[in-house]
Amino acid sequence: MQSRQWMRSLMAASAVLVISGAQAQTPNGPIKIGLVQAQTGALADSFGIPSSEGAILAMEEINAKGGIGGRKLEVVSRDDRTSIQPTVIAFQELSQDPDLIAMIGPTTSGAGMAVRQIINDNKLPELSIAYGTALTQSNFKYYYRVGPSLETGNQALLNAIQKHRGDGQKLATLALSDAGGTDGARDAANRASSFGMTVVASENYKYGDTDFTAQLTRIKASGATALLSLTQGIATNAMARAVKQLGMQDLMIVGPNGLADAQSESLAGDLINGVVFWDYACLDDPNNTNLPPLKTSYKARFNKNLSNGAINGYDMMRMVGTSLQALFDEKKPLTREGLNDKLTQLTFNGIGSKYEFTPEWHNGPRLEQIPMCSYQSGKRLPWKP
Amino acid sequence: MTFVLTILPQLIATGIMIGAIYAMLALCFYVVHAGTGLINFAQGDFVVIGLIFVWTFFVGMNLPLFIVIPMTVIATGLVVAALERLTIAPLRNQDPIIPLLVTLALGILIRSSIQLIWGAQPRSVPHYSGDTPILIGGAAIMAQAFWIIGGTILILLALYFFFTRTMFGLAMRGASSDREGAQVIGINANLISFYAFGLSALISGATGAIIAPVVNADPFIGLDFSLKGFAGAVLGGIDKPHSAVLGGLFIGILETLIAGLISSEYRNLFVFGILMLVLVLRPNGLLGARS
Repeated sequence: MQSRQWMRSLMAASAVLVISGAQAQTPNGPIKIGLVQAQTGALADSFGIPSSEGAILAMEEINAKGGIGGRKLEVVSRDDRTSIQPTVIAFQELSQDPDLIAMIGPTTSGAGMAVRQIINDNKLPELSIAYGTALTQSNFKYYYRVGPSLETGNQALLNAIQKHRGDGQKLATLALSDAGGTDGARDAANRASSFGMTVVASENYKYGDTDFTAQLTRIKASGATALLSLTQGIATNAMARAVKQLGMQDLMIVGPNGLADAQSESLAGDLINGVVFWDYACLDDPNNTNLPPLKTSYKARFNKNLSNGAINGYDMMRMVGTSLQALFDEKKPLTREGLNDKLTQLTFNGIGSKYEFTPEWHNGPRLEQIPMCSYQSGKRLPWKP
Repeated sequence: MTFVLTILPQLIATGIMIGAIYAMLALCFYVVHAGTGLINFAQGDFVVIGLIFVWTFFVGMNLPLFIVIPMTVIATGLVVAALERLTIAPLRNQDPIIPLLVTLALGILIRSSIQLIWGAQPRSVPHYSGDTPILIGGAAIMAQAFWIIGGTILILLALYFFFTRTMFGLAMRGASSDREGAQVIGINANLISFYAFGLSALISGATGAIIAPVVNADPFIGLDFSLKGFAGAVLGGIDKPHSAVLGGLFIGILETLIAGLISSEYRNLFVFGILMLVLVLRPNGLLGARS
């Protein structure tokens, strides 16, 4: 009877060992990084695909130098389809992999909020461009914004208007009528008075709108002198065409980097000359020595010109690599919690932006560290008032 | 009041241009409905096929415009004819709800295929007559708007000729008013359906060709087009071509006025609210026959 009890105990102990062994990280296997970005859908070509490519390029460079303590980084990629549901499914699946140590993505703020619980439950560090206000308002222990937040981005843009045109400007906003666009326009309207301006028009649009003449007609009639254009690609093109059609060339147009990204450029061309925008780096900044080698290696690897999405993905993967290397150098285990401890105090010089994360600040670069750029005939150069 | 008077000419001019686009889509809904009794929810995506061909021929291959437009019309016609044979024709004798659902699926199929083959990124097509606006009566109008309005008038005249002077046109109108009777007197329903889809494809190709510089070659715009074209056709009355066209025109002007005078936020609310009201009060449309 006693020997049977011993046998049962032995079997139970073996089972526990097998299960816990399966859940532990493989000490010499690859370190997996989840990459959940838009490979299809509205933001795929303009952001998701180049961002993934930038991350892969950084991973390959880290691996070419021997990886982290001899262990290679490995990307596990999923398509968020620029949509919430596939993002949630991908995060649910990948977070269960014990060898997966961090997530890069998703592409949109709505999806970022939808996976918040998964990230927290699994203590999984997440780096993302998603810039919605709520993402870093509370409960952001595992979330790191890599790029200006909505608030700091807006401050940088309003500051640019004030510096360039002086006090007393009349501000109009044009934003997508989704949560991100509405938040962005509302935040700018709330801040306008502290930058010496009044809001005279708040217009919006929705996905699929191709003609903004009605919105710009209202903006023109309001007497606006500056426009915060929260547009990208086809919407930037519609805005720029309406501005030209209605003879509003004196309007100072500012916005986030989508305003003058590759897609906006390919659609609107020189119609966006002179727009001012924040970015991760001004792509043609002659004084940024990080850009030429990255442009060369990105072109060689993907046969494409470098874009801001690629810079963002590249910086995110390098942040993970730098933090893992720091853990390894301190001879600490490469775990999710360990990585999170390193990320939360990371000071990192990106390709064009500096990041200084603290336990209180995971909100991207600070106001003074945001590069302000201007588009001029195919070039994105540092902007000066 | 001064504010309204200042912006009204611009809004009306823009509304007419947008309305002309919806009018052509509504016309396509009429044609397919007349030939088959079907509502084709892939209609907007047929226009997107036209947009893709325009970009490919005009920008991608740099062909002259006088070749681009007929090539776009023919290429769109061929693709849609093949799709009709493969997906709609086999369902002719099924419950009408099945082909209706198939047209919805067909739209998704077209969108996904375009993304796969051509990419998700919208492409710009240059304006055919430059992008310097012309000032008329307080409104700045792009020259492309005249292409769109002129094209709509030309297509209407061609269709008027087709429906009143050609055998197929007369047969299609006959079939639309009495489908069973038409079969009894020997009108081939299968052939009528093929020609109805073919004709709507030719109009879609022509529409794509003239609106591309305004709407861009955007793979995702098809469903929005379908909904607005359908709303126009139903609002005006889907049983007559001129009713459908006027319905489309009305929708375009209405949504632009709402966007300009109230807020673009309320455009769809008004458009589809009025559509629902009309469906309840006059199910055959504002200009359709009284039921």
